[in-house]
Amino acid sequence: MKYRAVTVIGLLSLVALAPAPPATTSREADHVITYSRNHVSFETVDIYIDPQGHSLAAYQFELKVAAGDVTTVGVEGGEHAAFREAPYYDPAAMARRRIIVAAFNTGSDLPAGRTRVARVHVRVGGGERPRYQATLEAAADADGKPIAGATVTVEQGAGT
Amino acid sequence: MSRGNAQPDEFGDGEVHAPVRLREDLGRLFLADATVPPAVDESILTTARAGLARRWRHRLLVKWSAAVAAAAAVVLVSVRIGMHPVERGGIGTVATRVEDLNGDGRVDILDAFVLARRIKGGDALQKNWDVNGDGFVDQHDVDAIAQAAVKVDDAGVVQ
Repeated sequence: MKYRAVTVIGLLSLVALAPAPPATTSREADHVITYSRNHVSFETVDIYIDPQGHSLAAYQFELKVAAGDVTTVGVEGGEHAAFREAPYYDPAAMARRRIIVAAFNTGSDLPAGRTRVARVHVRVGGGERPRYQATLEAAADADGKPIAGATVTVEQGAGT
Repeated sequence: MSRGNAQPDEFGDGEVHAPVRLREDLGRLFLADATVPPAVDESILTTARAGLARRWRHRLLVKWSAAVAAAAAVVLVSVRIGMHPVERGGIGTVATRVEDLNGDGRVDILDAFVLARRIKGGDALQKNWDVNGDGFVDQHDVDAIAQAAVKVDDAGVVQ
């Protein structure tokens, strides 16, 4: 009888101390984003283009949501003065899983190194960590000539 | 004992053998005349040929129906593409619209960039660059081209 009581108490203790089911966690830079089924968060998705030393005067990329419950809520410009203004995009695409973003600058002060050209604000729902896929559709220098070898990368930024 | 009155296992081979006369009588009794009259033969052949012809006609009909359906599908797809030459920007777009200023076969931001540079540089502007049809070639046309470049079609609808 005594042993049974000890066993029951032991099992109850194990249940009480057992860790909660793990939530999907993603560490990006210096913050932690936790995704749970009923949680909604707002995050940023930064798009970088590396023109490989050429002056970047125009770009166009397509951003696709590869996984996750994601809705675009806004698109803002990049870090360099040449692309600081909000780029062109289709507002109707914000409710979709795919958006095309583009911008150009006819000035002479243009980035030649890797630069963040746009920041996309998204609303993330559900318990799945979102994944994105970007395709560079156009990148040109100040003369309008395509930049061969230019690359695009996506970085998932801070969330709330 | 004579052979005509042979009894079972008379020959020691384990088989049962009927008497010879009985076997001959039974053979005559059940002898069948296997000759088919030419009229019956012809009738069977005619029926078979008619059946085969019917089957052949049916197959031909099925083949022609499939060909016609395929041709109709091709025409339908071609008409749809023709009605919407540029629904989206991006790689692979077949552009036949006036927004394709640099003539690379697709409408993208580089077309808007080309026009913006010409406007800024004070270059001669062509009338057909008035893509929004307001009678002027200006920044509004640049914006119109850029908007056409980033337009997303229904392929991006949430599933």
